[in-house]
Amino acid sequence: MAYRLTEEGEEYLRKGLPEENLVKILAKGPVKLRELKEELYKFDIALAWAKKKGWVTIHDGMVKLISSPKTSEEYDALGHLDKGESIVKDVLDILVKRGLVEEIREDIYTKAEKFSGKEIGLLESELIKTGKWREVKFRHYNVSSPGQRIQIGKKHILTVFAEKARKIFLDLGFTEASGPLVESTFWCFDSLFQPQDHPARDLADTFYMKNPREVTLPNGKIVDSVKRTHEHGSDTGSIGWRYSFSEAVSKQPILRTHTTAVSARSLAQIKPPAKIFCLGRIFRNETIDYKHLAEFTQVEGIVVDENVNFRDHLGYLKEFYNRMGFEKIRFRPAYFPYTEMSVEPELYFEERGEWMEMGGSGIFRPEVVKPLLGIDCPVLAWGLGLERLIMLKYGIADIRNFYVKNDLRLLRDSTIIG
Amino acid sequence: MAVVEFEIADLEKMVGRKLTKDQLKKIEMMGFPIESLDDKKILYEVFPNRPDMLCVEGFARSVKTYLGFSKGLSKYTVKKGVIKLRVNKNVENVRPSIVAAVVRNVKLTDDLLRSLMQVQEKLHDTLGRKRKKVAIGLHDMDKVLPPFEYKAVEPDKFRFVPLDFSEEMSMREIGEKHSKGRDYIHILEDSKIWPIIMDSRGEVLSFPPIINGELTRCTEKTKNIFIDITGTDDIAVNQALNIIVTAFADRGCTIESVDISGFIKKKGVNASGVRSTPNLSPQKIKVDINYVNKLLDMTLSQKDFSNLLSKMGYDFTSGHIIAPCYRTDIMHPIDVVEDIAIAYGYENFKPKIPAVPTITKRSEKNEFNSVLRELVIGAGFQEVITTILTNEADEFIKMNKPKEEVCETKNPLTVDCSMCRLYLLPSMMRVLSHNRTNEYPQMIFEIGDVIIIDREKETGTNDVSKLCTAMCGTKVGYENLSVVIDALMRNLGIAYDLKKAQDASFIDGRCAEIWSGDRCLGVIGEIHPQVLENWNIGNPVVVFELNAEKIRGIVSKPGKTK
Repeated sequence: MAYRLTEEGEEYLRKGLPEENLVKILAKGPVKLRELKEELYKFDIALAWAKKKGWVTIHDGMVKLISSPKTSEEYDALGHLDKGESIVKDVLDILVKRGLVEEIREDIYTKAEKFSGKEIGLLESELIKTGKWREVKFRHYNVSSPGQRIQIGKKHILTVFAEKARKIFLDLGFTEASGPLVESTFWCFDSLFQPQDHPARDLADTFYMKNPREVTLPNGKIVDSVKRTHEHGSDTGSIGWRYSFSEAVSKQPILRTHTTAVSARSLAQIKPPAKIFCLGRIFRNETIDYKHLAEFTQVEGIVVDENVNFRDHLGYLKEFYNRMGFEKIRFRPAYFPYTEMSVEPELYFEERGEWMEMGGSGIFRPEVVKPLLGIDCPVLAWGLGLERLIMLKYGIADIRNFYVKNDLRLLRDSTIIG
Repeated sequence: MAVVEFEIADLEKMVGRKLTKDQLKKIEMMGFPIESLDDKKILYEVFPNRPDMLCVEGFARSVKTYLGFSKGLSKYTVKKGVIKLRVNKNVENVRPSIVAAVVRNVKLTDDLLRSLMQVQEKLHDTLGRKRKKVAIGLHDMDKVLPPFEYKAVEPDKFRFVPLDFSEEMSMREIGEKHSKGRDYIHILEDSKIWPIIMDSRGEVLSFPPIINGELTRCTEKTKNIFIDITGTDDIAVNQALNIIVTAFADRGCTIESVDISGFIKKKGVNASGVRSTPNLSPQKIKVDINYVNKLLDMTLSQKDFSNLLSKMGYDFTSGHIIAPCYRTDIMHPIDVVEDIAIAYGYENFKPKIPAVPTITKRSEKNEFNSVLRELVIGAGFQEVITTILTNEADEFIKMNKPKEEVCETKNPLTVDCSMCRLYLLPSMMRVLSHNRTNEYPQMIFEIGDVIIIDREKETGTNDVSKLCTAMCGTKVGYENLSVVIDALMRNLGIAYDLKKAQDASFIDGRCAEIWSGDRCLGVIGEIHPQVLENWNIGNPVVVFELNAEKIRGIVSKPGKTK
């Protein structure tokens, strides 16, 4: 912003500030008020400011000097401004208030005129508005250099894939479910017909909780049904595991080792037909190294319908992986305590030139379904690894990049965006 | 999960012919992935449901029918034996179950010896739950005089020479000094008396589950073997016995039964309280062919059905399926259905998508978090994802905060996983700490769950979705993020207040709480330099953490605060 002296300001510059002129007169001694009125130019202003600044008093019609200014800040400022020099904001504000100084509102034409005939860098707005862009030359830039690298906001690589997986199931008409991270052994193991002495329940693989100590079990009918099925098969047509089921063991809280716990909970609440999926964090009590973390993401899904069969199970797996960008898929027999037929899907990774297994799946055993759903009904189920898929496809060697380091260079430079 | 190792030559001998590499690979489609393969050896993975496949004899038996070299059920006969074993009631509380058998005409070649050692070790680990549920003992029968006795005795008094030693030791000493003693004595430690199997002269056959006596060590001269299987589960010991004796039978030995009397826990007891083991009778199962056809989407005839069953070692007669005695996994007709699918070949089923009419339903929480994520990305932040498991040092000490009640794990393998996070903020500090050598400014965020203790809930916990944003760089301060909060709240249509607050993680006078009406949504502030030092971060950091669930609660109410 630019400032200039007003007419009055210029006058004061020539003749001196009125209050300072008053001080000069009073230096010789007090003067009668009536006399000053006649003698002094701009007497009212002079007296007002001199009183304000504490330089004079008026008593019995006499004006007396009580304090003399040592510097003439305002007068000097006027002089500086007149020369085009800058002054202190405080003083400027006073001069503007007194009407001695005003802002120069430069005409855009005046501004634009400054560039006329020159070679310019930044194209100023005034040049466009006044049409005077015609009067300037545009300096050529080094267009082959992009300039300084910037970072932009981005999703995490895992989120990109998680959303892709999520979208696939939503497109296929699935309901998105969720469940607690701290789970009961009832929902994580017992309801899935995993015997209570199964090695997977060992401390070495599962995180047991110190706090909380216990969970509340669901309604007695379901717990009882699961218990009887474990012990002797109940009405599922199975001989069961033939051991003594402990409710106390059921109540132990753990960090869920698979999202299949969510599927178990869902079965207890729905009626067929139903298609349910869940993407969630699961936990394994393992030593952490480049291949293993204590927590990662599982893609879970179930299809519950009287008429689904083994071919449909393979069909959903194939469809999911095809849509994730994998053409070659094959299926291998496997074993899980809660599925029969059990299937391990394998994908062919072009980059590696080999087939790799991607997770577990199968048709839930009748011992799982009957106690929870209440009827015998085929339930297709899968729990697939997400991080593994990404690491194998993109050659990311160290899983700790995902949850532990979050190396910003890896994340920022990643071209995995959708 | 177990891995078994076979000499290819031995496997071929048991199968009865040479096997090509393709045939060895085809076995994978039975459900046994190859771990490694070279000219001499092959290693297969065996799942817990097929302990019969843990010995080369059992493996070859199943492979023979699967590859088509033979068909149907393998039949075994048990000769009625005269050997008796008496069980004393006092084993009831320490190790109640025992079964036994005799095998004669044994030729302990290197191959058989190798197989026996492997199957015992693998069965002990898997079916035996590290010898607790099942422990196997093999004895040169000619060194001892039946009848045998199984009882529990006082560990300090009873002495014998254990395998690999030359001096007599008390059972307690064996528990302390013998390598097997140190590994397994914990199984017996709760009891004052420990189990022993001895012959009629008081000679020790074995001290289960720890070790056999040196006396009955099997050598290449051994012709007759007494097998004892003890444990805590009657079904499991019988299953293990069946697997072992059929392996011997496949090598040309004869099987003889042993009469067990006295204390017998569970079924199989005849009128006079004597049980004869092994029981190698096949299992009879009824499976409806329509059930199979529906589940596999096939149109198998009775003949097809029979052929496929035959391939998997079953017989099919007069509407009944006969399953072999060494299969431990047949609990429900569905187990047979899987075998049929395997016999047909998983690769031969054509995948299809069925017509299951259901309508999409999205999770509101995930939908809202997606919206939130987009807004923060729009403000220029890089998403990070961190672990829910953490430790006291990171969560509280480094943050200058007192410890709060958290979800804690009992036996984590690493101390890094001793508790679940209550806040996202320490995770952001950790990421910034790891990224000290990367370009600044660093603008990061995470939307993730924390776990809080909530006794009202079924699991005693509640998962709460939080948003935490952090900025770190040379000229970073409070206003860098307060403007972001403002933009977020404006875009979400939430009227909010920033109220001065105090928090030990933040610089005094540079911290505020974000309030909407009577709800506190979160906190914002400049991180205290002590905290920066604790995390080894050399640049100022400003952060905010918001409760995404509370925000969703406000936004989802129609007509509020727009």
